[in-house]
Amino acid sequence: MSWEMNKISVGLLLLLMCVLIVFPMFVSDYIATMLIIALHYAYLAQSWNLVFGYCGQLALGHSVFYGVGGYVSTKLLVDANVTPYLGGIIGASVAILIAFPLGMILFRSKLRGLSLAIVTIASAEIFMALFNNWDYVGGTVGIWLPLKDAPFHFLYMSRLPYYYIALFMVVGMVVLTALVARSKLGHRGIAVRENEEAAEASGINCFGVKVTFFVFSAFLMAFGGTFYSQFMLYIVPEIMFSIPNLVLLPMLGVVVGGRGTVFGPIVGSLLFSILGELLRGIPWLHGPRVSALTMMVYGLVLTIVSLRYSSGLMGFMAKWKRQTPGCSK
Amino acid sequence: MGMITQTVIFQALVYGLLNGAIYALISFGLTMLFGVMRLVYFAYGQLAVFAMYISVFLYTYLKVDPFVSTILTAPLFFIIGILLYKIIIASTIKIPHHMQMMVTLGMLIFFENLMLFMFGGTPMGINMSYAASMLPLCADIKIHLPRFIAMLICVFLIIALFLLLKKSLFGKKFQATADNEEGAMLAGIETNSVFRYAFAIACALEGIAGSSIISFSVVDPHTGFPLIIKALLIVVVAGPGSIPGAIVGGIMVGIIEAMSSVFLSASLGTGILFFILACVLIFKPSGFFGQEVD
Repeated sequence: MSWEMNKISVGLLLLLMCVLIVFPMFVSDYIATMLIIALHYAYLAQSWNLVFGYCGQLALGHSVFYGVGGYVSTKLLVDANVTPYLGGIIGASVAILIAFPLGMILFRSKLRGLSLAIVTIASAEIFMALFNNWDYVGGTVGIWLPLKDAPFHFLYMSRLPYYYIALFMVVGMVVLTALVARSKLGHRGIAVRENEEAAEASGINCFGVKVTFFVFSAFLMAFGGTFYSQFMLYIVPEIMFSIPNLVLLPMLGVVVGGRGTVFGPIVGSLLFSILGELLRGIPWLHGPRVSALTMMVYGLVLTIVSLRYSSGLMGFMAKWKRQTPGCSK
Repeated sequence: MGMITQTVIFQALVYGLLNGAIYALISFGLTMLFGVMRLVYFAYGQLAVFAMYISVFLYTYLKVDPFVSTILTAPLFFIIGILLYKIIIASTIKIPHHMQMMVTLGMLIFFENLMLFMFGGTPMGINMSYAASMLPLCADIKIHLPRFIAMLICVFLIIALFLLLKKSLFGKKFQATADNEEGAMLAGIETNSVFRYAFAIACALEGIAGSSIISFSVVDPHTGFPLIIKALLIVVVAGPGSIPGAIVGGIMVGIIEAMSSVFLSASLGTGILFFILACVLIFKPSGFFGQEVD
């Protein structure tokens, strides 16, 4: 899917970037935190977009890599004082070490669609059970990270650095996705997504493509886990391997925003984050009920969008552009 | 860790069988839906949780025994099933598989949070007069009475459904549609109607299951999720669409789960269960008895 790169688009994008960079310096901690979380989910959505949107594989167990990444970098920090900037890379490498054989097993066995979804969900549950029973990583108690200012160790008292890192991660993902989309790998992935038999017949190594996207996505998820640990300062298996939070929510962003597009998942997740905040502002709702209501709306939107607008917001906009006279598409 | 005597093992076996019957019933409903309309219904179990809440309130305010409340929940959920089918499910029949999963996942998120919104997150339960009664079986083995009754209900329903599918006119239409949808349509069977009633029956099953389970368990909005994951695993491993597979699978999962809890911790037991099931799927993606998925 291509996007117009005419002067206006570039200009708008640059303007947006300036706003995004400058604006947060003037907001409260609360809003900054909200933005950071929104960006974090956008990052997760975009990483998942690689394996689902560009390769068509319904891998619902990606929380495994998030958790592994987070735990590795945190253990390294807490036990050996290794900076998470390095620890995150190590964590992501461990994630690859797990994703590679896992992906090979999964895709060698011709698991598709539902079976793949189930097995990947099962793998996430297995890891959660494993970590819950493993005292070395704190089991069900979890691990606390120190609350202090230690820039070299990815710990900040102010929210601002976290914001910029999150922003950098999201922008990086967008660029990465755009590069992948235009690369040979990206095209092969789309071929696999659309019709695996035809792709195989035309000579594409579907197994290799699927594993590549799977591992790639896992690598990125791990960084997400590291970021979360450094930001929230507390990790526990129930959060780090949680499917609803780490898989379903980003999935929402991908489906609503438009899977297999460069900007879709970002737009989709941001929309949801904004929606969540708006709902929180309604005065007569309070406490946990608000998040439940937000999730209800999410579920409803996911259902409706999947039924009617399966190409998501981006697809809808593309169609609209095509139909509106005077547009150059 | 205490001594694992023979008694403990047998007690776990019995416990596993009791649970297994419930898993079998839920998997039956799920595989039925998959078999006849290729529907991956992630939101299965949510209505069961809803039934649990209804039974809680019926007992708390009107002293209605949970098993008696199935008389209300079964037809109520049958009707809800018909409505749900009309509103959502009917449109999902023709859309691609992964989108279908998204739709039902969305339903799952919606229902779970609807209940969280309405009832809050604190677990609720009921305490009937016989809630703690144990039926002695033999030697030292005792059976928890409410669980036993629940198991009887499940067994009864499984047999009843089996007969329905084998002997009745609806059952024959159902089997024809499950075998070959287009062929069935050509033969004059109104497949939409078969789908609708199959879905409604599955929902009614949820109602009965929920009302039965609340007799010995507590309910919170999140009880549905682990249930559906297990049920899906059972169905896919046994072979989607295979009803005998689902029944056997459900019972086996109940037993494996109980045994793992005896020898290891409960959460690790669940992990092991998932691992075994995942391994089976990896070696045989179409499951033990099933047709090809997708």
